[in-house]
Amino acid sequence: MLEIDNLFVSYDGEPVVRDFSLTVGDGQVVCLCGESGCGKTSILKAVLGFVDYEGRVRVDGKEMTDRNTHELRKQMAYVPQEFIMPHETVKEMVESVVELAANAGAGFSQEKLMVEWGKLKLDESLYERKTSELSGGQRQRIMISLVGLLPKRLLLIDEPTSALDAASTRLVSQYIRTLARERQMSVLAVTHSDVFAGECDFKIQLQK
Amino acid sequence: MKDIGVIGLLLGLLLMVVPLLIFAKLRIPLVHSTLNGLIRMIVQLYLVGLYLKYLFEMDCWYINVVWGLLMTLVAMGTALQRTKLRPQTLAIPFFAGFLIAGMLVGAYFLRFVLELPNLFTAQYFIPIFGLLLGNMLGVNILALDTFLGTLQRERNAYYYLLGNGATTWEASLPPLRAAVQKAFNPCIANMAVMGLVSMPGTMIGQILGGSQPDTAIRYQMMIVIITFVASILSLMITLLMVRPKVFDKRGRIKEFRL
Repeated sequence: MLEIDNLFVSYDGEPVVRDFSLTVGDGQVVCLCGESGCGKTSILKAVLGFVDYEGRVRVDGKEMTDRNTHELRKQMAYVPQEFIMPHETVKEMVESVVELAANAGAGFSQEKLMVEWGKLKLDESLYERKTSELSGGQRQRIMISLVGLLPKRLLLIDEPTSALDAASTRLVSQYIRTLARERQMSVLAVTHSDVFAGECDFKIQLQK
Repeated sequence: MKDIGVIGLLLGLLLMVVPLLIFAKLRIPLVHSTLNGLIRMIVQLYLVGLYLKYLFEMDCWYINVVWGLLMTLVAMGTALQRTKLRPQTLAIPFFAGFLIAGMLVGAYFLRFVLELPNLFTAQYFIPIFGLLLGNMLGVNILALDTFLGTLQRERNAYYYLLGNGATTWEASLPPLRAAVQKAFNPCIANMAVMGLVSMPGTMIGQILGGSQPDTAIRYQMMIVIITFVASILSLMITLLMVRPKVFDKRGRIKEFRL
């Protein structure tokens, strides 16, 4: 469960999030929608502890502090808006996440990954390919597939379908919703996509 | 060993007319900086020669240690100048890395390899420590600049790993690996072709000084090894100490550029 109480986020004195409160229960998928600059990504970053904020963020009842941020992040999965991966190959990119100490207990295997890739219509041959050869949509789906391998309590996802067409968007949103239900994982997503938002349990419209 | 007299030195310096003429003819703007560098080199080396002469004559262990500390401070200052990073971020990590690695590796070499009873004998301590500092300096500057530059450039990848449960150390490993590879690839390549492509400086100096080639070769091997080891050790110490200045308690990257 994720609880956000009276969140304030500002950059250089300019407030972007004012008095925002939200609870995302176990197994729920909540999406944040709104125009650019209304603070959607800032809310995600505050939950991840990437930006300073006022207010409280609690994950499964534990309030985030300087001391326990790393511990709480071990329970989180984060899929950012698509970025250029510095890794040479997809295999290296996958290993960089699954080999982290926090994720070692998941018992990664390529076979398990391919099962998730099958659900997201990713071809197995991509595993040995260079990341620079992939499309933005493929990179996004690969990052999302890793969530399927890791037993996390909270998923934070920023524009998961920005590079996908409507059919792939529906596929990804159903995949995330199934994961949330099966794992009783809380999901907080930022999206501009009505198709993705349509698959969520709750949609919160933010304003500047 | 055959000495070089004043006339010989002047004749040798005359060779510099060749590159200066080429720069002037082709209008390459390097004439002033070359002359400036040449004059500085001559003055600095003469001063080095003067005070080394005194240091060798005195051969007082605590003066040699103070001299070592001064050399380390100068190396630290040079490293700070050449990196575009805030002095408060790197001053102490550089100093500590150079001093600890230089002293540890230098002491090991002097005590166990050369079997010197007194580690701080001027004739050995000062040139060996100076050699180690010079090599550590170059490697540290390149590696730190690469590490911090890559971290800034690939901050999205860093935060991606952090957000998926990585510790600060784990998330910063990719830029660290890139930095160490970039800094040490030239050292390794140089090691691999030593003796084939070029005759290394230490060996030449020793042979010219009258040493037998097999002695010179052994010294050369050891010099390469101790500079390699001291460089990686100093880099690790510097990086460990720099971490709290680059990352805050939540693992976020602080502002460290000038």
